[in-house]
Amino acid sequence: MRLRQILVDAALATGAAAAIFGGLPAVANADGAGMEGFAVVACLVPVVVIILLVVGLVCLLRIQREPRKDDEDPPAWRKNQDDWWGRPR
Amino acid sequence: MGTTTVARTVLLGILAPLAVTIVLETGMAALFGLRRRALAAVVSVNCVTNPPLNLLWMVLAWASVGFERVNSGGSRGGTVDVTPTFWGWFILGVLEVLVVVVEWRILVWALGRKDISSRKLLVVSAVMNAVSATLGTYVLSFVPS
Repeated sequence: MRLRQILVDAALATGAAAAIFGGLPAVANADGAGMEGFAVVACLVPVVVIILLVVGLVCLLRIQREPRKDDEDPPAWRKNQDDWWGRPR
Repeated sequence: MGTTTVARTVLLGILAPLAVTIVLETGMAALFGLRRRALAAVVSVNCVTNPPLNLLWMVLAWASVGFERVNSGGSRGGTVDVTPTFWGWFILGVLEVLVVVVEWRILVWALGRKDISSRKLLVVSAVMNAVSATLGTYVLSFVPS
């Protein structure tokens, strides 16, 4: 599951990057208005982004693990058929 | 900053672009013949790539990296608009290329190469991102900021 680990690491890295990039404007704009913007950009918006990110990753994992059509059991009518050599399946 | 402004920022900065992107990209993927499981993967992959991209875009605008502040009012009480410069659009272009590659690799991983070839998924990723970047930007220009 190497790719799965990569995806989880990517999610963590995105969260860290969001916090770091969100913090930079606060340093650049340390006045009152800047701090208000900082509260949104650095705290609330990244939370929404991380929630969406985690939801997307969980859905992708479920899709990846979902058995494909070929992996599913054969339909009932085919189960009852004999195989090529006349033996029951 | 009031709760209304925060909700408005989240809605306009993150959720509105995500909704427009999902509609456009899922539509394009359907035109390429992708169905059910593959379309669900397209929606999910957009939840992974689009919000961080928009967050980064918001941060760049906030930090005035690739953006310029234009004072549209008088010397007192005017409003300051933040518009992307050439470098802003260049950064967006580079980020979009990165998004195409990341979405392609994630789709190949999630869907496997058995049903849909890797090359087709690359074409799908490139076309749907090109459409969402151009048409999506146009559609979002009508959303009041």
